[in-house]
Amino acid sequence: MTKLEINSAEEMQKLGASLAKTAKPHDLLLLNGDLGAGKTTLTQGLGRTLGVHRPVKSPTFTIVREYREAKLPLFHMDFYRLENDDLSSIDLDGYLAEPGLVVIEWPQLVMTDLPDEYLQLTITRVDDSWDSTKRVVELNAHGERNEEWVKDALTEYEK
Amino acid sequence: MSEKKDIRILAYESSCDETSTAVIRNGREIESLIVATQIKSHQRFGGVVPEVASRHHIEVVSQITKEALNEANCGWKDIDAIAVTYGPGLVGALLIGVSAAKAASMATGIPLIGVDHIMGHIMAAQLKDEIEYPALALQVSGGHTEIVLLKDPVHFEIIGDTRDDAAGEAYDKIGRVLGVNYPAGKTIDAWAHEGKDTFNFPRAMMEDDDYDFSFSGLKSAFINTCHHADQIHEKLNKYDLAASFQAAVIDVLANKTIRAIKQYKPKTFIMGGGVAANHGLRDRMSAEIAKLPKADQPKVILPDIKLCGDNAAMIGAAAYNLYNDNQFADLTLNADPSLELPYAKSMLN
Amino acid sequence: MKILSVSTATNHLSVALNEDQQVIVEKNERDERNHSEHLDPLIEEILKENKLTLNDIDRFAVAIGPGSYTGLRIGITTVKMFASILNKEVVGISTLQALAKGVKEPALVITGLDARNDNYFAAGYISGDIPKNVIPDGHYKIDVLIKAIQEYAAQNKVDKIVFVGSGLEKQDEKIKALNIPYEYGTDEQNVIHAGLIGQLAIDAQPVDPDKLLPRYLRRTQAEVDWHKKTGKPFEPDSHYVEEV
Repeated sequence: MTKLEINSAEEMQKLGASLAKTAKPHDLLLLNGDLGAGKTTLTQGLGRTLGVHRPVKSPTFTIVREYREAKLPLFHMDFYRLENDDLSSIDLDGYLAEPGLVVIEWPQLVMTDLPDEYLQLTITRVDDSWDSTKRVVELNAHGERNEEWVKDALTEYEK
Repeated sequence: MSEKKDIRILAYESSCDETSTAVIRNGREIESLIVATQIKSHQRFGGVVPEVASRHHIEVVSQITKEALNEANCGWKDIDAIAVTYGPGLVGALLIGVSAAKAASMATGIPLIGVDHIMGHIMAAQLKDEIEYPALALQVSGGHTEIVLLKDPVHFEIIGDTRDDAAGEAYDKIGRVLGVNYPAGKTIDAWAHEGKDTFNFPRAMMEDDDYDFSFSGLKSAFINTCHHADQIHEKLNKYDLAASFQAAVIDVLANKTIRAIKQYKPKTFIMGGGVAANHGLRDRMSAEIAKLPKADQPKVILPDIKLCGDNAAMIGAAAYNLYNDNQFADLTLNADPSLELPYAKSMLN
Repeated sequence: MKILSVSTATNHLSVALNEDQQVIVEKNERDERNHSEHLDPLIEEILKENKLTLNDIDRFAVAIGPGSYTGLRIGITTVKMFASILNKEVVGISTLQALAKGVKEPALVITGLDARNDNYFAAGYISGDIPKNVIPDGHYKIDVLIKAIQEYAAQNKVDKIVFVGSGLEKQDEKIKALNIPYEYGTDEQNVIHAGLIGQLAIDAQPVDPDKLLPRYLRRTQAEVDWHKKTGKPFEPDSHYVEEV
């Protein structure tokens, strides 16, 4: 496990950008963190770097937002509203089968339905003030590919 | 002398938790509108459960097709087009309407029209009054917060958008913190009228000179205020919390929209979407527009409250414009959960 | 009698036109996820090639479940609307019975669709023109399914079992331990054929199109949790939908 201190929204976006630059087709990124932790901010940095020119917005309402125009097609999902529902109406397998990057916010409820290999980021607030942008990001790689991904992404981030 | 033939459209809407059919004449007159709502079902779970929504849609779709035709006193031979919402929304839910509309089109030979749900919300205004173009729409709902420029009845462009959460989504999320039953918007609106703006929540991006919004900071500020009070065992006034939250949302929406009106000088201003039913927002927008110099005041169309939520009538209204523009779909029409109206050039970076 | 039948229950799409017992044409698309995009054009293609319109069809048939929830709803919504609008008959056929019909030799046919985490939508049928159900269609944990097979075999003579469907081969160890001669279905047998659905449709009882609904065989997790939490009974889904 690797821990990273993030001090601003810009740094969060930069982390997203670093993950994007080093991502490969079929990668799966899970984002944990409370409301307002910065999951969407990170994905925005990621989308920008992948060449998404439209705004990358919260996918909470429609559960999935597709950015097929990206260099690596980006599928941004948010299972906040899924409650304890199963995944049958989302066709997650279909997205995972595509040569793109799947990013899932609030993956807790669907963990048993996910593949064994993924990169999980857990974002936590460091202090209590609402406008603080200080965060700690934990990166947990599951599987060889994801260990490599973390290594490459962190090298990119330190540049 | 031959009169111009009436155009009747049978429309379907099933993008979230209402299954709806309607027959609309000439894009303006509601001949029938059936809405089967699932709200009671999803209240059990505190929010819309997508699989449950899809299961409910398929239960009623053929039945409410017949009801819409019967209530409009017409048969298939009187229908000129079949319209359906194909996105954005929950993919499993959308697919029921799309499959039903395509099957109906195949079985009857009546042409098919695919409608963007957001275009539909905006066109709820057309059911109330004639829209003069160019028009400007503030489209606020659970999934969208957009300022849309309507060049004509079928060419729409997003000139302002949320950078993160939609306004309606923020209502639902803070509603959860306050323990308000889903959907939270109506209750928060009512509470806001009982309270005062005492918390001074942030008005994000209000002074920026674009037309974009951000509600995620407001949501965080709200949640943190509540958590902090919990920690020190302080009880906050829920009416003031609601009033403060709503004031922050409305300030930003009104401020940016008025600026867009000044810049684009539309002939008509429209509000659309579920949050367009919010009394605070309706009153404020009307008041702000009344403050503009007479010559700069667009005609204001606020759709009927009952047509702000999801319904097939608005889909039929939008479809009429697409019909006149010869925009038909074929049998490969598919649901597109992340469908978006085109962005204005200024919105692409 | 002309029968048009459809299966969208799995990622394999199948449409067929039958004249009584005879399959006139069956078209299949493998591993396609976009049933919504492909189903209607495939139906239209079949009708055109046979110089027919939907109105010439006497009866519509569809795989009613179990299967992919979203997939099932696409096929069922489509035929439900056809039948309702054109005043034609419609029947729903068990996906698992249709799979069993692919096996011609005498055997106990265990048909199963992989439902992840060692769960299967499964059933047991005795092969035949109209496969006879002996283990009910249901959602089974593999161990429960194996136990049901054992119980059946203890009371009936089973010379051979054929396992048909998806994801069953990974249970080979448990299947071997049954100690009954067995084999797995061929690639052809492992997919659902609309032509077979059409044949089963001849003897099936037509239903009101409005009441034609998927047989999911499983409640949603949200409802199960709600039931556990509140102790309130499950009600038919329709009790929660109201017209306003």
